[in-house]
Amino acid sequence: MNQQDWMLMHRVAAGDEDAVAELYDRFGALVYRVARQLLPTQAEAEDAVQEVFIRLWQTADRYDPRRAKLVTWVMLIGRRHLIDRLRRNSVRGTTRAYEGDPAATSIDNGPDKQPQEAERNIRLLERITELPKLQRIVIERAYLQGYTLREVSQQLEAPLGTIKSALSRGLAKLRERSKADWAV
Amino acid sequence: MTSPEPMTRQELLELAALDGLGLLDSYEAALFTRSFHHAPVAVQDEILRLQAEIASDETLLPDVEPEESLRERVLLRVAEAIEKVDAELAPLATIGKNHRKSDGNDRRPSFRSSGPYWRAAAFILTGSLAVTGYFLMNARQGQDEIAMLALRNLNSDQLIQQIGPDITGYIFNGNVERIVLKPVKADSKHEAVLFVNAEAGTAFLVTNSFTRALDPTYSLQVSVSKKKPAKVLTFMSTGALDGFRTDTIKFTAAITTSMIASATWQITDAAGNILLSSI
Repeated sequence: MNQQDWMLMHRVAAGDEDAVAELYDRFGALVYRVARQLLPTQAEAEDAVQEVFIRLWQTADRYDPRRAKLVTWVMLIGRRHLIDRLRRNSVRGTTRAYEGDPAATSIDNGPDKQPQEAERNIRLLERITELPKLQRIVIERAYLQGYTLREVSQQLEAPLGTIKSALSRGLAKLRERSKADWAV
Repeated sequence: MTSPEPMTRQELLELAALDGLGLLDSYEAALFTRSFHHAPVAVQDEILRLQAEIASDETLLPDVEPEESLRERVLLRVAEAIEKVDAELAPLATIGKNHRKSDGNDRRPSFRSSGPYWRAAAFILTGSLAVTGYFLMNARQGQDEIAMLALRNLNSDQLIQQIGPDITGYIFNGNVERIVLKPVKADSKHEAVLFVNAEAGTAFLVTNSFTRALDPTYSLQVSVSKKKPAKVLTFMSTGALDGFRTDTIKFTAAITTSMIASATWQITDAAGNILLSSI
């Protein structure tokens, strides 16, 4: 158990400014990158990051280092909040089209946002297109668009177990390929 | 009551990434957590390492950096949120606190200073009491057997562990409408409470003592003014206390916000038999 992380989150729960600042310094950039990946504009991403850190303060007393390392907890809270926001804004589905050609990303987000977003996610989108079809679709819908696995299962009329396996394997492949690219 | 068999090491490792990324629904996340706690320490460590590695993996993320000013904005927003809660908990917060005189110009929200741990404890206690108070309130009304069960057997942390952390977003949310569903048959042990967040278009269903079914067997449906019911959610049961979240309620089409409490909410089995109803 990481005693230091546990203490940090207790200090965050207590509203200690230094602790919140330390939490931001450790994870702010990471949370921001996920926000930029999921949300259509920089302004939305920045606003969402602020909300995520409020949520982290609200939930800090629930952090259990025996159940998750701090980075896992922070990113879990962050992703959940971002996906909730994505759903509230009704962005997913109608406004984000990751499937197929990476250039087709964000077809309804306005002409000025298409190149930015395609550029941001270009590496990921290129790698996704190399995956087998089912893995590609499941990753696009669950990982990038925030659909639950059950929803994806219903959309594709495929067993939930198949969807889970496809996502798990697809993510593992993506990470392997990304690491290999970074090592070059 | 029986529970599903704990997952094997291989199953746990396969689902660890999905759990760490928040991609499992409430039911599956609860199953994963239960199995995690049953796993040997070495397997638990392996899962924690794997999840942390995935969570911190930046190779799949866009290569962008936040503006430097974002740090200050984040700290300011958190300080404002803390100050708001402080104001709401003012009677608690003033106990043992040194008051300082204000010149009236200090309008920037401030973080708590040194020695705030007792106040954090008070806040955490307040949160726990809120859960307990919620259940006590229901128990007094004599309507909600789940409330009694939860109160007898589970503290708030255990409740969260049992049915997933999503429940807190519904219990503590003043905008959430709570609907108790009662068994149609007097001798039935089925219990259910539905929390509906109309603003977000989401709901959280808590069930207890349903016959165990590990495939989606049961359905939650809603109807207004005796119109044809619309299916909201299909779910399974461990045979014990379960929680399910749905994000797909279409209020504009099937039911408006003002109709939530007066609508008829029902749970049916696979054959379409009504097991519980809100009215």
